[in-house]
Amino acid sequence: MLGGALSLLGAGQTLHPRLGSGIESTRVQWQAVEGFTRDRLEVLAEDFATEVLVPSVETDARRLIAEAKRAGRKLVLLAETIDAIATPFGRALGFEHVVANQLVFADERATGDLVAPIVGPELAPRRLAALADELGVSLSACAAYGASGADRLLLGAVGSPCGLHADPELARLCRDLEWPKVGAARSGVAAVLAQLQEGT
Amino acid sequence: MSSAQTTVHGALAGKNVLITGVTGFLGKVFLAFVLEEGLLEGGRITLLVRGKKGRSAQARLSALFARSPVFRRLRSKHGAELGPWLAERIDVIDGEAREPGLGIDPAQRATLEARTDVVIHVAGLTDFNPDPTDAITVNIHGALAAATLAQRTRGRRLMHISTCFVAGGIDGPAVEQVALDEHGGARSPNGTRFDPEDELLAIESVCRAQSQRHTDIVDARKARIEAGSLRARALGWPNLYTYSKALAEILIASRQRRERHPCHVMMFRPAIIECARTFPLPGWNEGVNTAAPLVWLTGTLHRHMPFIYTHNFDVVPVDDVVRGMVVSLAALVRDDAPLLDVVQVATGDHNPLTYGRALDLTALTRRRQYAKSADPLERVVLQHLDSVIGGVAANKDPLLPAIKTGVRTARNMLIAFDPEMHLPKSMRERFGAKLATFAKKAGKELGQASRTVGQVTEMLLAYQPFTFDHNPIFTTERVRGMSAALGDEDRARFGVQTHTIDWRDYWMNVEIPGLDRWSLPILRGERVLDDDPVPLTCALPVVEASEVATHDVAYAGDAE
Repeated sequence: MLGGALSLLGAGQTLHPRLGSGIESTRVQWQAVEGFTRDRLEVLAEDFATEVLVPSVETDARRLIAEAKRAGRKLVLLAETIDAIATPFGRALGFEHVVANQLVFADERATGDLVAPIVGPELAPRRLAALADELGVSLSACAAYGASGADRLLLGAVGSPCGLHADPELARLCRDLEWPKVGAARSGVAAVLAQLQEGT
Repeated sequence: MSSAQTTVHGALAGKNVLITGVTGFLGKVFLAFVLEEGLLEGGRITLLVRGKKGRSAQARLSALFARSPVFRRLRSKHGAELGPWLAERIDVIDGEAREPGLGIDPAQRATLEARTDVVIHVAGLTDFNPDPTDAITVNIHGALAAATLAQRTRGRRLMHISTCFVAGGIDGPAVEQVALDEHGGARSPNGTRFDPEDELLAIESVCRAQSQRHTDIVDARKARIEAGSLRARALGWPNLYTYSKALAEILIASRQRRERHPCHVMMFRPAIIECARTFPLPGWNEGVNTAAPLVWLTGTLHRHMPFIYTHNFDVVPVDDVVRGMVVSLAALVRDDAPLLDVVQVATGDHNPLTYGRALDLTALTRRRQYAKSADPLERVVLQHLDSVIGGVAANKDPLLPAIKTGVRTARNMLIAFDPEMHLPKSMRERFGAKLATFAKKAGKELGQASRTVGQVTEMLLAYQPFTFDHNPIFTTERVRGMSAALGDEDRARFGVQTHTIDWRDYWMNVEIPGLDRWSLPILRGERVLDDDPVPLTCALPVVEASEVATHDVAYAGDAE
């Protein structure tokens, strides 16, 4: 990886496709939980993250994340999903920072809206920049991993961008901008991260 | 626990107290807390216990110290020295809250009166609808006897453990006051004015009349409960428990006013006492208290809950109640303690849990458990069932009676099934025996289901005043004020910390596992085992008899 005091930045979809799928679908999909109590949402979300998502992240991915931590890198998970899912998921994998969407609650019940502005392709790089500033880390010394064309702003903001299982749009971008690109098809997170290490 | 001395230690050091009801849930935790914290050091703790099932009070208490999980840490800390260590601090007196004068031997009574600083009366019946004769005897006359004793003791201090629910069927703030006016008249929750002494005579008379009217013991008891409940409801109390506890408070306060040298009285009112957060161990509970039946209900197939979602489920962990008792006790022994003080320990006014939320959290906890269950009913069916909060009161809900009628009818049909009568010959020969066996088994199971439906109905009706009809908010300024006024060390150890309860964490990780471990087995008719006994190596001392005996007299008798 990139050595030194750099940060390892993981876009949510890089680790799991169900951690993000585009800003509009993000907005629409969470309207379905209108009326749910905060308890219900957070408990079910935690169960989903720890019992469904985390077990499907493969052993090699955990090892690479652990290596990055051992190397003193700070791990940030950027996800379009809600923090109720992203936080326990990130915690279980050892991420120190999680940037995700938040549901709006009124009287402890979800209204179906997300706290504006919605974390998506445009906001993620700004949040990241603010976080890097807060942590005293230069974005030019950071690495970011994205999976879709929507991640281009995020990837363009850091010194070491990388496409992982890139969709056609991102693959084209990687080719044009000479960004490293690993993983032709999503075959498991472990494989992606392992190739990433070699590629960088 | 830390052994550092604090101002609470200082206030209570050297005090001699008499505690009743230490074999119950609250009393036992209070005693263990006082002993572990080294409170009342240099004084004596006298425990009033009744002998039971051929065992003396001494033997019962020794067994408690030897086996109860509440005293596990004390056993572990002191080992074989626990007996002598306890004997230096504790002595026992045989007595009974049902008996006049608490059933204390007159010669021992004189000893107690000469040395006791505070009487802490914890004993009481907590069933919602007990036989009113028992409720009057234990909850009213027992409390009055404790007040009489306190009146005659050296310290003239009484801490009477009551309940927030003496407020009765009200909505909104329930304040820390005894419902007594300046002339000694009482006011019931629905605003009816009454004379408490007349009320006591009247309810006793009603009970006697019902007893005389019915020759059958069961019928007489049923009639007494019905008549007593009617009277309680007529005054605005939802059941005999709250009525008897309220009347006891009012009578104690009313008689106190007639004393020439009244003792200091503190009415200590916890709300619904539930599983411990940390002390004596996380989740500790004993017996079947208020939440257990509701939690049990969510494990049945019945999913229609006649609750108002936003009504307060005013739960307080037992260790917070015990801390409140300690802080209050330290205030009660002060020279400038008020003559009549009321302290409520509740959560609804500052960190409320609602019935709806508790139900939601219970369902979520069960969902997690059922997902891993080996039982297909739990994994496939119950995991995916949620409770539905209904908008109809239990007594007006047609669903349960209809279910019960349906189940009974089906059961009766199955039991009456006879292949000889109900099947044509061709089928009888092929399937008759198998069908008869199936019908018998299914009929038996439906009989059990019918009984469960009956239990559910009864339970929902008993809880309706709290879950549906009324929503009192118990104010708790007094105990929170006392806690806030403590120094940092005292506050950390003895301050009531109900404002810090994270209800989701408490309910899912403490309350439900605690009930599963300690209470729900009892509802299923199973035994909850104590620890392996570690017998005390010496007997607990008994209160010595004085040469001069004194007898119980009516509270306020001096003024009569």
